[in-house]
Amino acid sequence: MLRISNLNAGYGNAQVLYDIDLECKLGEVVTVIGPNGSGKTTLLNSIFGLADIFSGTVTFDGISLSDLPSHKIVGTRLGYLRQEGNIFETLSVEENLKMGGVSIKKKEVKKRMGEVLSLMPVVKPFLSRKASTLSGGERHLLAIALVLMSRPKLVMLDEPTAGLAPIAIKQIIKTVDRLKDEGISLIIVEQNLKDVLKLSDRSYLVVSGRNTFVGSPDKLLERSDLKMYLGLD
Amino acid sequence: MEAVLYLEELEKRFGGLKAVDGVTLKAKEKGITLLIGPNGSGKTTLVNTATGYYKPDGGRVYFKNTEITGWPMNKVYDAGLVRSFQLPSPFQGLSVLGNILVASKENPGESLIRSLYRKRWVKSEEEAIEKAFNVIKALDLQQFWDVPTASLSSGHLKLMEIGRALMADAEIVVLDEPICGVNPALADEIFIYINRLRDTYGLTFLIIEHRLDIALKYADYVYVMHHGKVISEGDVEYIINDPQVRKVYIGE
Repeated sequence: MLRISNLNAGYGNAQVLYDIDLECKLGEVVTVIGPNGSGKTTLLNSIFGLADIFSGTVTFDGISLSDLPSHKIVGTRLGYLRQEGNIFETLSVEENLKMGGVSIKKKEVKKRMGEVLSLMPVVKPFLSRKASTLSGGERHLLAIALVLMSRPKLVMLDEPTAGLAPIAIKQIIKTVDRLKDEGISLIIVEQNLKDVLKLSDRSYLVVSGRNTFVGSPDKLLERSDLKMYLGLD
Repeated sequence: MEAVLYLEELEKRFGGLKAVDGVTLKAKEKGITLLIGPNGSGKTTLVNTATGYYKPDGGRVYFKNTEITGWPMNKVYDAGLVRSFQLPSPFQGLSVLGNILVASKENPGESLIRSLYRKRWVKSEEEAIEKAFNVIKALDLQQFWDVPTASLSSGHLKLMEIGRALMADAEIVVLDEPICGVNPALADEIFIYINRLRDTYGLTFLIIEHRLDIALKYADYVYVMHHGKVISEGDVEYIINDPQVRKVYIGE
C-alpha cells in the first residue's frame, strides 16, 4: 500500500533522512521509533509532502507522492495526525468533523460523521463543545476523528499519546486497536512503546536519519542497544 | 522543611466552570513536588493562576512567606518563581547561549546611549556570559551552545528551558510536562538533572507530569487533581496505592 525506497529527504539544504526504506501493507500497523531528533517526524512529513525529497520514491496505492502537494495527498486517502495543530480551536467538535469531511462529497458528510462516531463513540459526549475547551485527551481523540472523516485507507499518527494521562492513553490505544480491526493501515511514531508495540505488526528503528532495524516488535525488543536509545530494559 | 510556595484555597473560574476549586498545595524547600491528574483536571490552570498568568477568583498565593496573590507574571518571575510551558517557546533564531542570556535578570536591554559607555557594560556582559556557560555546563549542553534552537530536539529544548530558569536565579522552578514527547532515555536524564540541580543549587521544583514510570522515581511528594480539586496527596507509595487515584487517573 505505502512503499518508500531509498528516501533522502530534509528541509532546504539540511538533509535529515538517508536511504530510508519502509513499507506498510493493507491493514498493517507499523511503528517507527527512535531517539528525539532522529528524523521520525521528518519521515512522516516527507510522505505527506511537508519536507523536501532529495531522491528516492514514495508511492501510495500505486500513486507517486513525491511530487504531489499536501492538499492533493489528502485526496489519495492518506491521513496525517501531526503532533500539534490538528483541530480548529474556535469551532465546535461537530463543526470540526464537518471540516474533516471537506475532501468527500457534501451529501456524504453527515453519513460519514455517523460512521466515524460509531467507530469512536467516545467523541459523542462532547460533540457540541467548543474545541478550545477540550482536555488534552479529548483533543487527541477529536483529531483522530477529524482525520477519519476523509475515509483514509492509511493514517499516520505522530506521537498520539504524548502529554496524555494514563487513562487517556488507554482510550487512544483502544481507538487505534479499533481502527486496525476496521482494516485501516496505520503508521505510528511513538515513544510510548509499551502500549503501541502490542498492536504493531512491524517496527522500524530510525537513528540519526538512518534505518537501523526493521522487523517484528519482539525482535526489536531483543536489541541490546534499545536501552541506549530509548531507555528500555 | 518550609514551603517555598504555598497555595491556599486557590480558585479560578471560567464562566460557570470552576477550573481550580479551592486547591491548597505546598511545594517544600529543596523538594520535588509532583502534580498529576487526568487531562483537563486543572493542573496547568492552577500553575497559571499561581504564577500570575491568570488572576485568581479566590484564595491566596504565598512565595517564601510573602503574599503574591494576583502579582503580574514579570513580578513573580523577578521574585524567583519561574515556570516553563508545555510547549517550549525559545527565540528560534538565537543560539542556546543567546536564549539563556536573554533570561538573565541583569540583562539591561539595548540602549544607544549606554552603548557609548563601554566600561559600563563590558564587565557585566562578560559575567553574564560566564554564568550562562556554567548553566550550559550544568546541563551538559556544551555541544549545542552555538546551535540555533530551531534545530534542537524536543528533549534538549526542555533542558534549555530549565537552563533559562537557572539563569534567572530561580528559587522555585515550575515545570509543565518537562518530558512530554521526549524519548525515555533522555526523559530519565532530564529528571536526573532536576535532581542534581535540587542538590547542587538548592532549587525547589513543582512539576506537572504524566509519565509516572519516570517521574515518580524522583518525587518527594505528590498531589493528584481531578475536576479542579486535590483528591489525594502524599508520598509516592501512598499515591500509587490510593484506589481513587488508580480509578480516575490510571483507569482501573
